[in-house]
Amino acid sequence: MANIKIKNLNKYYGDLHIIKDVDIDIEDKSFTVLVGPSGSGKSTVLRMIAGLEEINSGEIYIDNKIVNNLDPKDREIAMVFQSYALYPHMTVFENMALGLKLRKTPKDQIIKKVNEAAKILKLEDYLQRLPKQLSGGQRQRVAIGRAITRDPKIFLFDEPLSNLDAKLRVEMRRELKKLHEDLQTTMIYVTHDQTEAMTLGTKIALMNNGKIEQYDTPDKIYNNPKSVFVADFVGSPSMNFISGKIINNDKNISFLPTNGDDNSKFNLSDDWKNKNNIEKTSLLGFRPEHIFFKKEHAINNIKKDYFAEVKVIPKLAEYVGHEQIITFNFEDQEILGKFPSTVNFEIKKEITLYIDLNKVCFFDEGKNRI
Amino acid sequence: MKKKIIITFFAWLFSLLIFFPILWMIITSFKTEIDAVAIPPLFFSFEPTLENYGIVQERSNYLKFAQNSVIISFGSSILGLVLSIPIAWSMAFHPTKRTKGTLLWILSTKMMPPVGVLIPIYLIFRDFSLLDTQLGIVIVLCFVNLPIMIWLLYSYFKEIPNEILEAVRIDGASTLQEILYVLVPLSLPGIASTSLLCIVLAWNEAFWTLNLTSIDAAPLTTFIASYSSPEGLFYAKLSAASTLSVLPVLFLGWFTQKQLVRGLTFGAVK
Ligand SMILES: Nc1ncnc2c1ncn2[C@@H]1O[C@H](COP(=O)(O)OP(=O)(O)OP(=O)(O)O)[C@@H](O)[C@H]1O
Ligand SMILES: [Mg+2]
Repeated sequence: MANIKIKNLNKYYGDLHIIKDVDIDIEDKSFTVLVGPSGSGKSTVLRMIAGLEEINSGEIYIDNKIVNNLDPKDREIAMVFQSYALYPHMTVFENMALGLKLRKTPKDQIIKKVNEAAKILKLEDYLQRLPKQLSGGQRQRVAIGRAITRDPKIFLFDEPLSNLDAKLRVEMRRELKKLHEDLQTTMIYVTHDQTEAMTLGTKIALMNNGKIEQYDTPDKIYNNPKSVFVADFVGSPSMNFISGKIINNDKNISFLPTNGDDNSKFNLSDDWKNKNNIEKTSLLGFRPEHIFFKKEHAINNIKKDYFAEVKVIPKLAEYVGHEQIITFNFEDQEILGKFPSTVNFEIKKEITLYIDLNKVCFFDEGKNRI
Repeated sequence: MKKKIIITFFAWLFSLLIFFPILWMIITSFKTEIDAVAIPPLFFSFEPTLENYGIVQERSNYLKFAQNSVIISFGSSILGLVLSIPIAWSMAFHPTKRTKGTLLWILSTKMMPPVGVLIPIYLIFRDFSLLDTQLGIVIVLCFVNLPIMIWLLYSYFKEIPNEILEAVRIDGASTLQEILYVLVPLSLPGIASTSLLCIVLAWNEAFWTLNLTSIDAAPLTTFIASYSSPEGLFYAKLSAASTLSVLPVLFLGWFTQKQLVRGLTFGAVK
């Protein structure tokens, strides 16, 4: 049980500024996911929390105590590595017991704890095996087992599922979520997979280029992205962006796509008129699932009948089971839409789409949300 | 099939070529001094005799020299391991921007001829009363072999994923526990072959042992050297003394060859 405060954290490798003023408040019992593209610095932040990486400036507090100069062994944390990092010369039992042994736990206690963990992780039949005699999924479980036997204050995970096949990954994801519910311990989880982040996290910190882009609940990250980067990173397929500008005159306010004419503009509600900086808009974003292909659907589903009608030409259909992703051409820009796969779109034949304007986002030139 | 025969043939040929001097030494040790210098050389057409071994045993106490050799070679290797394991550990897992340079500098000390530092070392040893002591020679040979030990161990340690050591550190291990519980067991083949190599090198070392010992701490190298004399015939006796000296390491090498090969090809197999 612990909360973590990270203040103005910075890290340099030589002249390279790798972690830039990272600030996060991690609440007790939360499941925080650090997500971002490869090389954005997620592992580095995690390793700094673990004490494996030196801190150049800034502070890390665990339970309001500064831990900058504390050895990893004194931080009461456990970590699960991407490569599992099991001790190859020790049996599964010994792997899980070592942490307790190093802390001078009595023998009967060790046996009890390891058996408990083995039971939770369904490893009872493998306790006497060596890591090399286990499958990837089992090794993963041992790595988690090694972490939970010690009752740490904080769990750190660095892409623990990325070496597993797709099916097992979904399974283990669920197990981890359950584990978090059961243990009620603070967990920090690093991944570059946005689905994993959305499903696991109670809070998500989205990292880009050494900085935190947004630190919020999954719901806020999805529906209220603060920047184009965040909007683009989450969701599959990701958000559609249409470039263009706002036309705001006395009568009404509308968004005019680049290369578009009066017919293709989005008429916006008057509510937007008084919004700060709205005229700075250069990108309009909306998600593929907020597009409808029939007016009745739009009217039934969209609040206040507030939608834009756009004329588009279907270009490409991708089938994904119960859904299909259709790529449309709109004023020389691309729009992706997600529809039930029962609908039939005729390629290259113009149709009208209805876009939910309650859910659109406006972004300025600097790609920040307006 | 044919290829295999050819390879086997050459393997045997080269092994025999390398082994021949040792074989010749062993044969010579059973000859009389006259037979030993006969021309053309006698292979098997001589009366074998144990006379040389008798003389050698009579003239000097083999066991005492052998005991010194064992103490010196094992002692210097153990001391070397105690020093080089932590050194190689820190260089392999906590490198700084000067680590590469330091490694090269360590190796470069091996390029200096030892005789260059003979006088200072001799004087230091004299002042610290280390001349002709087992401790003194153990220290010197340990430092002579240290660069090789560090280099070998460094390359073995490099094969071990850093994450395993980080895992044990997070699990609660101190640095010493990290080395003892994980690093040493994981690099055991490497450590074993490094120590064997150093034992053999220390066993055969003949510069420092000859210069810094005389009686009390003298190992088998001194023992052999005492049989080479500027005049008279001494080949047969020298061969007998040498045979007695190499026999122990020959056995050690024989019994540990599997371990040695595994260690020296560590990483290559994976
Ligand atoms: N020892 C190092 N020396 C120099 N640069 C480094 C070093 N370690 C990491 N970096 C750089 O730091 C940045 C962040 O690395 P980090 O491993 O934290 O990324 P990540 O977000 O975990 O990426 P991934 O998803 O690929 O694991 C990268 O650009 C990387 O190149
Ligand atoms: Mg990483």
